[in-house]
This record gives sequence, structure tokens and C-alpha cells, in this order.
Amino acid sequence: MTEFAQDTLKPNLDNPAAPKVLQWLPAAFLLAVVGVGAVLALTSKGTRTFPTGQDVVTGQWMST
Amino acid sequence: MVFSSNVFLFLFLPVFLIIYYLLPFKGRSAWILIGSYALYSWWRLDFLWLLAGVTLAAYFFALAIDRSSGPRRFQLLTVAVTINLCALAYFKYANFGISSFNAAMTGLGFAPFTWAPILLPIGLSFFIFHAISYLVDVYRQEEPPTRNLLDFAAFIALFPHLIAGPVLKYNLLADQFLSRTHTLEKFSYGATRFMTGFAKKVLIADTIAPLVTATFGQTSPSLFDSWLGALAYTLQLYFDFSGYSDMAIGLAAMMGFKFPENFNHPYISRSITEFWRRWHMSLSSWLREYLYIGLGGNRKGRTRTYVNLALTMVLGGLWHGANWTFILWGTWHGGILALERRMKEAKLWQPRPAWLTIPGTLLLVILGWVMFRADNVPDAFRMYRGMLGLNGVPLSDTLAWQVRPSELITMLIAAVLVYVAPVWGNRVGDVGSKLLRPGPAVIATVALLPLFVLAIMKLSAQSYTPFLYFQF
Repeated sequence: MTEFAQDTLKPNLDNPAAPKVLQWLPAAFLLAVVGVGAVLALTSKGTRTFPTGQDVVTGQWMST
Repeated sequence: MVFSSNVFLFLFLPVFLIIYYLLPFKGRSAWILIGSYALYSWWRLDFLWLLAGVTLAAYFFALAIDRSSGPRRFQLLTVAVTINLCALAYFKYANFGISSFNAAMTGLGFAPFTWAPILLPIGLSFFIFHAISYLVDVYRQEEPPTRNLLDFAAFIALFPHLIAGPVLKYNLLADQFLSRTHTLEKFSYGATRFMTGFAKKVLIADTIAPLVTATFGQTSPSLFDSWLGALAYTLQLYFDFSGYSDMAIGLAAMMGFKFPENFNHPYISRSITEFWRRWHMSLSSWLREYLYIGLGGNRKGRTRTYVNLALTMVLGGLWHGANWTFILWGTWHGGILALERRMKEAKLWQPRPAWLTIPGTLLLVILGWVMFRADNVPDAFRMYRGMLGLNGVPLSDTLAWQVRPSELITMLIAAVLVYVAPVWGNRVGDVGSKLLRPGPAVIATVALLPLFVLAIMKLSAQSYTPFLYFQF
């Protein structure tokens, strides 16, 4: 039976050959971007909405 | 709340990860469950009972099956699977069934049956499939039932795969709930996959989306219109869903989990058989294991094998949604799978060069995607008429003003990526493979970082665009 995927499990982690910089740079970058974005969104004066118009707390769309 | 939204990115994800990593390992399953239920409730609180109910039913029925013997095991499995299928049928197919019934009644001159449309709970198809696979595995004694309700509930609700897959088996993650490592390298790998998926979704799929909507909305599409729309949707769907899968795999890795891959460069397939080993691999694997084999597989003669293949794909099509378009799409793929198998058995299947088989297979896939994307069957056939040139050749005036150069350029980039990525993977190595060459990998990762920022900026400027597979 070969019509369907036999085994979807592929090694996708634990790569000893990865350069050192790849072992920390993506994590640091993502956390920095997400952290800065969160601080900016939550400390913005006069609004509780994200730039898309979505309410920070309820998730409802505020803009019309 | 979708992964490619500001609320997820700047509120849910940082709060979730901070608390997750502050907790000891023993408390993390509970936090995964709370976080996943919170994410699900963000959409609608009142359907949380359904998710919890499916989880509890699967947990207790599995224990009962394990304790039973003889015919009672099968009876319990039948009851448990029927309950799940009834939930799926009610929420997903009742509208379709009643509207089809009403169409027939109206055609016969009778008054239609009135009913209030039923809302489809998000992620229903996926968590029902997770529950069924667990029950069947316990019945087949391929895995013992878990006694840990918390881990099991966290598995069913695990937010990276809750809404749109990948479709996973419990035994794949059971050990990981008991023991998994959390390393900076693994987190970094997850971050890379997440950012890759985010960029694929926002920068490519969402950019192409308006063009797809415009072309499929044409009442009389020309040859150029319809092929442009079909190609655009072929790229949009791939980058949307594989982008979602990248994000799911990445988020799981950030929590220390190892998810299977869901795509393997499907558009370089040389046959539809190969396509289904490369596209939505977790669903394909599920269909093989629980539907095709359940129907008898290839154990009941040649003719029955073809029927089982076709029927599996028809039901797989129906799983995508309650619409005749999905049934016809599944029939199309099931028919071709059966035909390819027949040709191989009759020794009529000769090896052909890639320049012939890859475009040929892609053509069959694109024709299928038109049916898959269309709102209804007549709309799909309007597109097919256009693809045959029966509505004229040049770009329609009504479409010309809607097509933006950025959409065409994005399509071109996407098409290049589809065919460059496998070559890159083979020669240089994917980020997760041992073939990886440090130089190109570092360049690719560094290039990804500004793309991720660009995607966030684009996300902030664009309207809400959910993942295509959320509707399933």
C-alpha cells in the first residue's frame, strides 16, 4: 500500500550540525520582537486596540 | 485567535511561554491545557464543552475497551466511534444534509423543511479524528490506554495542532508528555519554523488571496482569468497550509514537542499517488490507517482495492467540508489513485521523464483545486469553461483593474520557491537535517529575520485573513 503517506515522522530537531549562531539567534530574535510588540501594545496611550483594530482584551474588532 | 494575528503574537504567546517556562515540568501539562482551552474559548466559550466532552468520552471509553474482552470490545469501540461521528455529522453535515433534502423537496414541488443553521465548532474535524485514532489504537492493542487524564486532555487540546492539525496519534506524543527536553537549540529551531510559516502565510498566501477571490468571483472568466485564478489558488493554498503547519511544528518545538512533518514539496510529485505521500501527510496517513485499512485495504481482491481507494478519498474529501465540491474533489483524486494503481498492476505504468510527469501531475492537481476552491459545483464548471477558453482568451476588463503587480510578483516568487526549495533541501540541507551546510543555512536564517518583521508590519496593515484550513 503506497497511495498514502506511510510515516510522517521525519527527524526535524536536534541537529548537531547546526552552526552555533542558529542555536540562539532565531530564539533571541523572536522573543525580542514579541516582547517589544507586547510592551508597545499594552502601554499605548488612549487605545486598547492593536494596530489592526482588534481589542487587546476581548479580541473583538473595534474599528468600523 | 489565529497564529498570524497580533493578539496571538503579542499577548497569548509571550504570556503562555513565560508561565510555561517558569513552571516545573509537572505543572506544564496543566498549563498547556489551560492555555489551549483559553485559546479555544477566545473564539467561542460555549463550544468548550464539546471539546471537553469529546476528550472525556475518548478517555473513559478507551479504559472500558481495555478492560473488556471478546465481542464487547468491538461493541464499545463502535459506540465510542459512533458518538464521535454523530457529533461530526450534526455540527458539520446537518446543514448540508437538510439543504440537499430541501433542494430535492422543492424540486418535487413540496415545501422545504425550515431549520436554523448550525454553527461549525472550530477545529472539530481535527479533535474528533484525534479521539477516534486513540480509541482505535487502544482497541487494536497498539497502545495501552493512558491513565493520565490531564496529559490526554492536554494532547487533544494542544493548541499548536488543535485548530487545523497536523492530525496526530496519541502514541506519538504520549512519551513526550512524560519526558521531553527543553533546550535553547530546540526552541531556536521552533522559532525558525514559526517565523518561516508566519512569513509564508502573511507575505505570500495573504498577498495572493485577493487575486484568488477576484478570479473565482468572475461570472464568466476568460482563459487568462481562470488559469490565473487556478494557479494563484494552487500557490495560496500551499503557502497558507504549509505555513500553518510550519507554525504548528515550530510552536510545538518551542514547548519541547516533536511534531511530524505535514508537507514534503508536494508540487514536485510525479504522480497523484506520490502527491498524497507529500501533501497533508498526517491526514493521508490517518486515512490510510483508520479508513482504508478499516474498509479492507487491499486484502479483499483487486476490484475491492480500487473501490476502497476511491471511497477513502471521497470520504476524505467530505471530511474537508459539507459540500458537493469536496465530494467531487475527493472522487477526482480517488479515481486517479485507483487508475494509477490499476496501470501499475497491468504493467502499463512506464517511467517518464520529470519534465513530463511533474507538470502533468500538477495539471491534475490544479484541476482538482478548482473544484476544491469553488463555492459550488456550477461555479467550478464556470471556471473549467474558462480554462478551456470558451469565454474568450484575454484578461477580462472586470478583472484587469483588480490585478496588482505585487500579486503577480508574489506569485512568481512563490512559484520559484516551490521548485527551488526541494533543490536547496537536497543540496544544502533543510534547517533540521544533518546535510546542513553552515554558510547557506546562516544566510537563510538571517534573511528570514527581516522577512518576519516585514510580515508583522504587513499583518498590522491588512484586514483579518484566517487560515484556509480553519474552515475544515
